[in-house]
Amino acid sequence: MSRVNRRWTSGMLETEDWWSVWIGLFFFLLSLTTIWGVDLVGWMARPRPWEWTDLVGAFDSAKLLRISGEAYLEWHPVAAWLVTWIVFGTLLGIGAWFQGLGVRRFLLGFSILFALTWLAWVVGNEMHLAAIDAPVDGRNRYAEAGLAWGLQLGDGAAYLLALAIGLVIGNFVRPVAEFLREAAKPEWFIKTAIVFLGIKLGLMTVEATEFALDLIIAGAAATFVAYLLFWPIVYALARRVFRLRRDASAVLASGISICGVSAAIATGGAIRARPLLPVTVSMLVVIFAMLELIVLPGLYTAIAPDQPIVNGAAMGMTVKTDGADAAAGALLDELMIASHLQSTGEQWQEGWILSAALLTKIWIDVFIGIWAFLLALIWVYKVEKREREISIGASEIWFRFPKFVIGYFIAWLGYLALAGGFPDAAAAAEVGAGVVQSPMRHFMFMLTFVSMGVLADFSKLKGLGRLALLYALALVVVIAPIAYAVAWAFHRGLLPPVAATG
Amino acid sequence: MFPRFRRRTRYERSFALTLSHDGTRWRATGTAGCFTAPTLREVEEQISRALLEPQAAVAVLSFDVDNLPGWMRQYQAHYFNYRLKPASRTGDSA
Repeated sequence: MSRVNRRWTSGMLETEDWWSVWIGLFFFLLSLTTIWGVDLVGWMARPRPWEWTDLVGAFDSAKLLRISGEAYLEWHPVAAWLVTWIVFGTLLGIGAWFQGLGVRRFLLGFSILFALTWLAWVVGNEMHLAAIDAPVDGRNRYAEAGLAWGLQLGDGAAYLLALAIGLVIGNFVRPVAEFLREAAKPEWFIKTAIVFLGIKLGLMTVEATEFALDLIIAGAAATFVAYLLFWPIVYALARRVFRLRRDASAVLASGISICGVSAAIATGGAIRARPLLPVTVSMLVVIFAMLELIVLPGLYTAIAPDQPIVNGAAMGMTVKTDGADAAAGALLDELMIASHLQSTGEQWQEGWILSAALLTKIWIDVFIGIWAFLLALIWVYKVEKREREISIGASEIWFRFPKFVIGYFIAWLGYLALAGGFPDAAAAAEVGAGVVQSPMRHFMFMLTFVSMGVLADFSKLKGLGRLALLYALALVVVIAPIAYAVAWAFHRGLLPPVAATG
Repeated sequence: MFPRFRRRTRYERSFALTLSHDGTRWRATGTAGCFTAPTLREVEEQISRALLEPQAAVAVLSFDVDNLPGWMRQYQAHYFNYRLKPASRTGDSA
């Protein structure tokens, strides 16, 4: 059994990238039925803030879970939770079947990941972890609950817990991690969440069009930095200081400086390298991306609490792989909102810092096909000098294009067009859109955090000494400082709209 | 009624071959045969000698995506495709 990309439709039913589009747009379309008064997404369960002494006194699952849509308020929250498991399990299971994964093992693994995700999500909503001691819209829930202490992490608490659970399994319970590998698909989950985020961006663009456009333009500019500044510097470092071969330097430079694993694979393919080369680089990328995810959100929040959009955009240029970048952006979003609320009593609108991180990254992703195509031509014409024997088709650009971006833009522009053309319908659609872009998106993010942790086995760094050193050096000395400087140049002073004040 | 255009190519025949790598050797397989060697350049030379030069044909080589590790395919589900024309010279660097 082999799978090759020969037609432009190749992979439409067999890749996770396309399946993130199908599932993302399926829920987008379902959400639109609220225009006609039919809520087909309101069954989604979501966690409720709770306090442990209250729960110990009188346990009730309704204190932990609630239902997203008003049309389903008569349901028991646990029933909604079971429906959430069945619907997502079924859709992802269908996708897994088309992708050729072992469906039975996928569904078992998914069910375990689902349970762990909800465990982290519910525990992360315990008020000592999440509640913030500041009034929002006239209410201070922290004070109302009479808390004597609290970590005040906001929704970031659940993300950190999910990551910690995944990392413990990935590094200390390896047989379980091995079993879960079939279902732990952080890129699939996060790309689906990004399509959901397109709906949120549509909603946000209606409210702050100029700000959204500014983010898009600055994100595009960041692309030039990644390709024209990072890549040549890291390539030169690999060749001249670390004396790596030309092909290894090219693959490594792409992995470190562009968009991680996908860039490493695209570059390896462009220069027709043995697959072992991008595989090795990809292992490094995944582990370093995890380290960046652990370190950078807290670091940026601590050193520049008044520069949320700069921090988000810098994250988008620094953290490789879509999953790690989106996860780091989401964590940064939560930590910065919580920190700002604590210090000023003003609550920024959720999602803008994450969008700054993601838009930057998505621009970088979009051009990877063109970059790899140009590199392939340079390799054939200039390095191997075999232009008379080998020709590269422009279809290569399409095959390497990140398809989830299509879903993201359809959701974003679709919602924007609806709001522009039919304001009344858009107002009605917000009921369903709110469910998809909030609890469903958060759920997919949480699933991504757990899955990334499960796949991050730090012991794989052993034996990659010289490459790991180069990666660390390039990241600390080249990528992170330049990314921050560029983000500063484009975004300094930009602040998200205010959602609520005391 | 309307003129019918047909794109003319120098090579009338083409062979579709699927590429894979087992960790040590490259392999190109298709209905026209199976070619294997430690380097891709050697595989290409075999294809060229056996198929392309005698028949003035081209080979369309497509990498088998399933040959990439499963955990990597979620990041990028394409490696490379290219067309190989009859070698008109040898001795290029590997």
